Amino acid sequence: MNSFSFDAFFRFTPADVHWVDIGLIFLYLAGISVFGYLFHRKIKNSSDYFLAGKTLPWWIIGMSIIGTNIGSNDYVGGAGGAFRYGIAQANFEWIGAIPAMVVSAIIFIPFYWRAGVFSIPEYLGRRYNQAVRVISAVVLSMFSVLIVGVFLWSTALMLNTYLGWPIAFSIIITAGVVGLYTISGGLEAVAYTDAVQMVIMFIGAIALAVLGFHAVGGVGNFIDQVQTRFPQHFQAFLPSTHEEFPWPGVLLGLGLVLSPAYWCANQAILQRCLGARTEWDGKASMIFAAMAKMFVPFLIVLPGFFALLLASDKLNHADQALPWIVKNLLPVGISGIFFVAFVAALQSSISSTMNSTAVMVTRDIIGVMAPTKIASERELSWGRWITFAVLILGVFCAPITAMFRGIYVFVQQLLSFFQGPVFALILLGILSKRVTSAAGLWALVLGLAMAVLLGALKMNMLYIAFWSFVFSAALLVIISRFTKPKSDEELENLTYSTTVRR
Amino acid sequence: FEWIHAMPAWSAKIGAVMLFGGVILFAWTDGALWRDLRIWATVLVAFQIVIYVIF
Repeated sequence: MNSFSFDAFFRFTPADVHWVDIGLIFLYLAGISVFGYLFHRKIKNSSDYFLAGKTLPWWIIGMSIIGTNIGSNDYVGGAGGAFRYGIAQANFEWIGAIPAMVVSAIIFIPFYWRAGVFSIPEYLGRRYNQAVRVISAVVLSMFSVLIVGVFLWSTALMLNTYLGWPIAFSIIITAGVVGLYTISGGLEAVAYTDAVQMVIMFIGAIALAVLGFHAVGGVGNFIDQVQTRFPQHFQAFLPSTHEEFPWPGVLLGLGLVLSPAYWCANQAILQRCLGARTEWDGKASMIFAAMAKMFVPFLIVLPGFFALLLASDKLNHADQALPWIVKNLLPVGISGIFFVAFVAALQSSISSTMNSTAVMVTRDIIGVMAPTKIASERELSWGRWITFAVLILGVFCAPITAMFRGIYVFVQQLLSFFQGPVFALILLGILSKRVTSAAGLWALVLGLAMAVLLGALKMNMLYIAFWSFVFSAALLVIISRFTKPKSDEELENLTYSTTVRR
Repeated sequence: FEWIHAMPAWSAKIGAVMLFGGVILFAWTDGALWRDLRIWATVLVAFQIVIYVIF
């Protein structure tokens, strides 16, 4: 259990921060609030609110995807992972992203966009049945609220450590800024603010990379030193007996299942693709995001290497790598920009999670359960109130998530139980029109049970994802042989064969 | 599955190249040339293969 003092929670404490850095932080918080709020005038109905009226261009969506994808865990955990394991940490950004993003762009996004759905559970509902839709929406929404709480706590902790602001005040300020533009402006405000936040994140990270290379004596010296002192840190694949990143787990669990499940079926990521102005914009946005994603390791893994070369004997814990670099390497102004980048990374993740959760709760849970169809204007009102409710729940969850060390990792692990079966349903559902509704429901429920069982047996998370996917896929094929599939008319625009060869 | 553990870590590089290659081969199976996303995906995957050959 972590404990936080009354002072940290409720009292302002003086912080040794230059006025230039404080000015940059206030400028960012005020600027992003006003910029995001400007979009509220364009909201007329639920399609405007949840899908930005299908007006988003590919380059905004691509930047928004990266803004949503990179959170605080990537910054601190990425640098810490590189400090401990080296370039193997970059597998999460390379083999754990790029192939899946290409597949998502050319296979999955066209079907989601063409089906005209607002969410991934809605696609599952149309491809299989409403039970699959509600189960997936309920599970994903519960995880999302917890994740909003974790992100709010992380931001508050940063503001407390860096500026001396009380944690309670920091949570309310963060929730207020993000809530203002997310609740008023919907997906369009979220996407455009994400894009601005991504630019800030890259500027901060590039500045850190330049200063880091300068501190270690240039790029050539950096490579020589790592190869001489820590040669194992330049190995992308670690032995199969490695406790964290065994290479078969990275290749099969991460590369083949967890990564495609995230990039092809994660509501927070794909929400903005569904709001693309054309099908091509939706596809191009993911390819553009993959281009940017390729350079992310150089931005978030490099600080771990710098800490390794400059302070390997001074740090007690890998997660201290990034804070040490920020404190000892960055001058006034640059440290302010980097801190703003860190807050921006968190805010873009919070706003995207809130918006995508509101879609699922409004349309996939309340919309399905309601006895009569909800009108678009009423759905817009529901959407705003539910976004507000998700934020409030996140605020109350924030201190709770901090009471348990590693709850973010725990939530991600639980989510990985769910991703294998869901990805099997989506992949086979798109590729084969013979997969039936009954098979979908049973494969989801039994696949989830299988994943929980493997988790209870303490299997590595990467292997759980792989085997629960294989189990669910096998169930889909077997049960479909004995149950009745939907007609081609019912599957129009939902499967490959009922779309491409028409 | 002991045979997997008996394989050296460099065999993962072959697996990675096969995964990237498989994705791009699958992809290849206004009308401006720059809008052909398969070309961009190929450039992207080529960079990735070079990275995994180096590391």
